[in-house]
Amino acid sequence: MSDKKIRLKILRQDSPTKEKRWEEFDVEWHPRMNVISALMEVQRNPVTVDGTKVAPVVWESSCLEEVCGACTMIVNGRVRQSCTALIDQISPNGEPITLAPMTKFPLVRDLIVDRSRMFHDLTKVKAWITLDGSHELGPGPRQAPENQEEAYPLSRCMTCGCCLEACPQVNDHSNFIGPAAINQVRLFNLHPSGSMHATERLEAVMGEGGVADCGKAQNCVEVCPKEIPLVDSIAQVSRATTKHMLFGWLLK
Amino acid sequence: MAQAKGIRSESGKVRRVIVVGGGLAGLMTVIKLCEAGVPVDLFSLVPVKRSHSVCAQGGINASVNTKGEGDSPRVHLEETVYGGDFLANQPPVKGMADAAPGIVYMLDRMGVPFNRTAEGLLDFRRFGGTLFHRTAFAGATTGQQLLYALDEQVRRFETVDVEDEKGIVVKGEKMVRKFEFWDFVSIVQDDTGRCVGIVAQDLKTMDVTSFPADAVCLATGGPGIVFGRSTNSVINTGTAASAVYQQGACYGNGEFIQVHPTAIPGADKLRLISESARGEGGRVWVPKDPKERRVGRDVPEGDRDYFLEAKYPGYGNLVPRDIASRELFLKCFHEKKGVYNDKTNKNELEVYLDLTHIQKDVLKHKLAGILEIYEKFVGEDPYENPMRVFPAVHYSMGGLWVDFERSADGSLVAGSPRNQSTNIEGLYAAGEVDYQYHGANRLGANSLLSCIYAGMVTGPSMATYRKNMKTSGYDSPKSTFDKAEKRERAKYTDLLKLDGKENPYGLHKELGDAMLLDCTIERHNDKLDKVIAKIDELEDRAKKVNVLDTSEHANRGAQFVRHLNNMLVLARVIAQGARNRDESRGAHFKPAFKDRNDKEFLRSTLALYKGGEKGRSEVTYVRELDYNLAGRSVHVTDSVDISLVTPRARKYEQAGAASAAATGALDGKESKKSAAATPSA
Amino acid sequence: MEQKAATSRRAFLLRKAHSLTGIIPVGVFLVEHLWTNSSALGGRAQFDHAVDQIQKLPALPIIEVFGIFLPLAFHAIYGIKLATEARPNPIAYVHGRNWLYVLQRVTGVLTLLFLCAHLWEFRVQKWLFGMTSGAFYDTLQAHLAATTWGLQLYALAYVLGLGSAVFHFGNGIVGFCLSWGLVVSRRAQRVVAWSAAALSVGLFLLGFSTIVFFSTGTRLLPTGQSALEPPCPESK
Ligand SMILES: Cc1cc2nc3c(=O)[nH]c(=O)nc-3n(C[C@H](O)[C@H](O)[C@H](O)COP(=O)(O)OP(=O)(O)OC[C@H]3O[C@@H](n4cnc5c(N)ncnc54)[C@H](O)[C@@H]3O)c2cc1C
Repeated sequence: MSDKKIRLKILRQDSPTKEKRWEEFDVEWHPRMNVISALMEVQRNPVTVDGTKVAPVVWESSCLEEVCGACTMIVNGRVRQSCTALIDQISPNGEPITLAPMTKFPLVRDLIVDRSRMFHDLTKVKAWITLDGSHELGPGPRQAPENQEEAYPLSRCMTCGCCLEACPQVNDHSNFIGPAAINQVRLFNLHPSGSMHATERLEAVMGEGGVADCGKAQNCVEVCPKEIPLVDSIAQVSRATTKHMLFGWLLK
Repeated sequence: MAQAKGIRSESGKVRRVIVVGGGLAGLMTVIKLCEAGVPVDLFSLVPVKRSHSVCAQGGINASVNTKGEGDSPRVHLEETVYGGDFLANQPPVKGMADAAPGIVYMLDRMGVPFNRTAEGLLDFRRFGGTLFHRTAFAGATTGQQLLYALDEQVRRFETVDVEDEKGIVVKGEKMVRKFEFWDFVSIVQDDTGRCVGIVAQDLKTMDVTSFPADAVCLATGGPGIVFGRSTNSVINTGTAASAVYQQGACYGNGEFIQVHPTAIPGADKLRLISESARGEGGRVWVPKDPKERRVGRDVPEGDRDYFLEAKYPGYGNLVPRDIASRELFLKCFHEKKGVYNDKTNKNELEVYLDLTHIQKDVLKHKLAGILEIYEKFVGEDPYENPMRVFPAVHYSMGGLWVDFERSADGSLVAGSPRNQSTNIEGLYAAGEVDYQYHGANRLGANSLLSCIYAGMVTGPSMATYRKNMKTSGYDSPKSTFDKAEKRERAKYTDLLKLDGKENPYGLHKELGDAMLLDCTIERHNDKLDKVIAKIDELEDRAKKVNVLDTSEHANRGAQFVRHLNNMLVLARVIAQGARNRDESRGAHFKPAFKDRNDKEFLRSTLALYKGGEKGRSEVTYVRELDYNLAGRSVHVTDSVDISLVTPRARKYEQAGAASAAATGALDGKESKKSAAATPSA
Repeated sequence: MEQKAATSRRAFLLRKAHSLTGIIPVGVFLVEHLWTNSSALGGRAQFDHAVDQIQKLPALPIIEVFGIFLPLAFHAIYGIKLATEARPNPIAYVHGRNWLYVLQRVTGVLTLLFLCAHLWEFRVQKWLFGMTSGAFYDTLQAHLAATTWGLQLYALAYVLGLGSAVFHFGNGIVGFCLSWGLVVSRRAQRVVAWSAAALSVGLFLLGFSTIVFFSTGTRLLPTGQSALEPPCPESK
């Protein structure tokens, strides 16, 4: 066993009404370690560097392979999935690692925030195919492989919140819906049956805080862990909404 | 008493059923219930979109036969049963195989971006235990895509109004209400033992609350975390299944735990590299020379030992998982021929999984999802270098025992309230948490299917049960709920007071290490005895844990202690079941009892909970069960329904061995005749 | 319900209008303005002629008020509102586009400040205090050549104002194209971004040489727009 240590600096808060505080922990390094396994070490021995016994840090995680979207946090100042944050990469020379909760969502505790607004937004944009029923109705519409190749990357969005966290337009002074939901509009409007309800989805992002609020900072694509072409999606939806504004609202 | 009728209970509340768990099985159950007009409360530990089903990579089986290979539901049934070493009841498997094409079509209609053929049809790939292209897939993140599709449909039902019998909208009530970040704690049973609701805990406020329901479905997934680290999500502690087991639900075939041959070792998780890698042509090998120092890609063809292909020419790299895992284990652990590591100077427990001979754009198109995982977590390029992998605990064939009602054609009676019912009236189970579809070993890509199929069966089954029930769960005496709530609240308060010396996370690690070492690929009775002794010890020590966290808000420590206790109980079911079964069957392999023993063990393991001495858990194994359902008593035994495919020896050396129907079809013979071939060894 | 839809439509339409007014008429005016002013590079006569041509346009006040001033005011005021809603984070997320986002807002404000001063300097003087368009040339020359503590602060402010305006315009074109959905594909996005950058640089050089000419008398663009051509501003 090596005696190499990793230092974690964690921004903690017991509940939304309590004070924020930084706590530091040293944990033993091991190969292929990531932020989650480091946090697990803290759980097994929740003692800060100055020897104080504290409650273990809490965080959200589930799949640990970057498909569930649960473990988003701010690692060294930048939002990302913490499961793929490999210690050797983010702290190559043993630099302290800072962990903080996302700032654009209401805090629950420590590194846990409440992202329910993102799920509400999915409802708002009607991110679904309006199915006649789950009974047998034969195959779905045929689709060209290119269609699938366009849709598939879009449909990998895990609702992790990285794009909202990094977006300067998403904040408590604006009600911008954010890139994730807009991307869903594009995804469903691409689908042969989904497109039958395209207008409803477009209308949903043509209101206050809709697609027009995008500020083109394009941080979303930079931080998206699934490399979803979010800017392209915004551009697509912008085009569709423009058309709908001209031919659906104004010239109708 | 009159029959409970209408949408409202006597007290005027909208009568709902509860589904716990929003993976594929839970969500499909919800959809079917909503379509039957039954409003649902859906509980989940995590937002359902983050359920463990997202992890599934490779695909979902359906014998659509788009490649014209002669695949059919009959072949699918036979191969599934054969792959499961004949331990699965066959009518549900038949139901599943028959329904599979329809299920994949439904998913297609829901917008799952399945890969397509040039003609715009669904593309299918190969998976283990079959020679057919039977697996529909969406890149290498199929589970995620399927889960999202069902999640979207359920989200739609969150916006749909409840209607009463006359079709009049019930104001303010939606078909689905979600309770996310809630931990299921126990069911509520009335005086007759019937399940009339649940107790759950809000993981933000930590409130423990009871909820009435006409019926409850557990769709809480597998227990992989009992083994410490596995390919499962960290939330898969099996806590819910364990809780209802402790309340009297029967647990079936617990000892059958699937170990997947190819995963990446890691400190927090063993990350899966899906079987689809081999389905697309990936090859498993080790260097012939155990001291080979060249990196994988530099080892010439002649110096490689493709040991699966050599031993199983028929199925090659796509033998079922239990077999592949055993062969890998044999190579690395017994023969010490794992990939040699210069730095540690030893043969690691690793073999090569090689895709480098396949064109990069094909890989990108079909497998990017898993290759990305390898790249991100190992930091090597799998397009250029063979991946290094080793087996990991993956799936539980065992789970809550559930019933079925056989139809005349050998399938399931549609809508029978017995289907997917546990032995507790009003409590249903679906998904990986049930024991129903895979016998002693699950074939790849059959689980997503079984989860969705189970949901399709459970929904109507619960709807029938609800329709026929005499009194609504909502009309049980208030004291029933108060009592349950009080009991669980007291238990929780007791947890918060635990201030002993043991660290619960440390105990979990010890449990995992013991289970992983001696209760997985190879099982020896002496070692299993030690595992059981270890569980005794851990149960004792678990009483002296320190809860570590006494916070009243979002307390994860206390919740974990509860899960730990429940995991210990399940661990015993698994280990004890393995100890008792002196044979080898599917994933359960005892070198001392190398053969399958149908005479003694062609039967389901039925475990019932008993509180034992010193507060330890104890298991009682029974051969038969009686349970109540809608006013009648149902009698069942542990015998396996083998009415459709007669058991025969399981051998994968020869191509086509898994399905007589397939070989029959190839030979132009009646499939039925050959199905009845070779009785078991 | 109806009303809600109406109010939410308003937000969308205002955003679209904001992005549109930045290009038409404000952006177009900016180009025209820099072009006209650069006629000074061809000498005073040419400049006066160019200014004169404009003064002779029929219904000039109406064009100025409705065609330029009101859209500009809308663009500015709504822009300020939008800028205050932003929470820039270029330090945490260091990406070119994120910096452009910040600069867009900063230059918007700077341009507005400059514009106010510039309007005071000329328009307000003309309308309220009887400055004639013939005096523009001299005033410009006097102001731009003036030094404060040995520094040509006035000229520097002009350069800054010019820089802000052309940046804001160039980057605004990209934003406009995305916002109106004129470009969608990656390639189109790239093409537009580079073209807008080139346009900005071109406009900056044009304006910069005009400023330099007024403040020092040096012609950076020796040919000017008109050294080779006879003064004929109509050709634009
Ligand atoms: C890495 C990996 C790859 C796989 N690939 C494939 C594949 O390619 N093909 C295939 O067929 N199968 C595959 N499987 C298996 C398959 O993914 C699972 O068996 C299946 O998804 C299980 O679904 P489920 O609906 O039963 O449960 P899950 O998806 O596990 O969902 C369980 C639900 O229950 C909830 N829950 C659990 N406990 C509680 C509680 N106490 N209180 C409240 N809610 C609770 C959870 O929040 C969750 O919503 C794979 C599995 C793994 C691990």
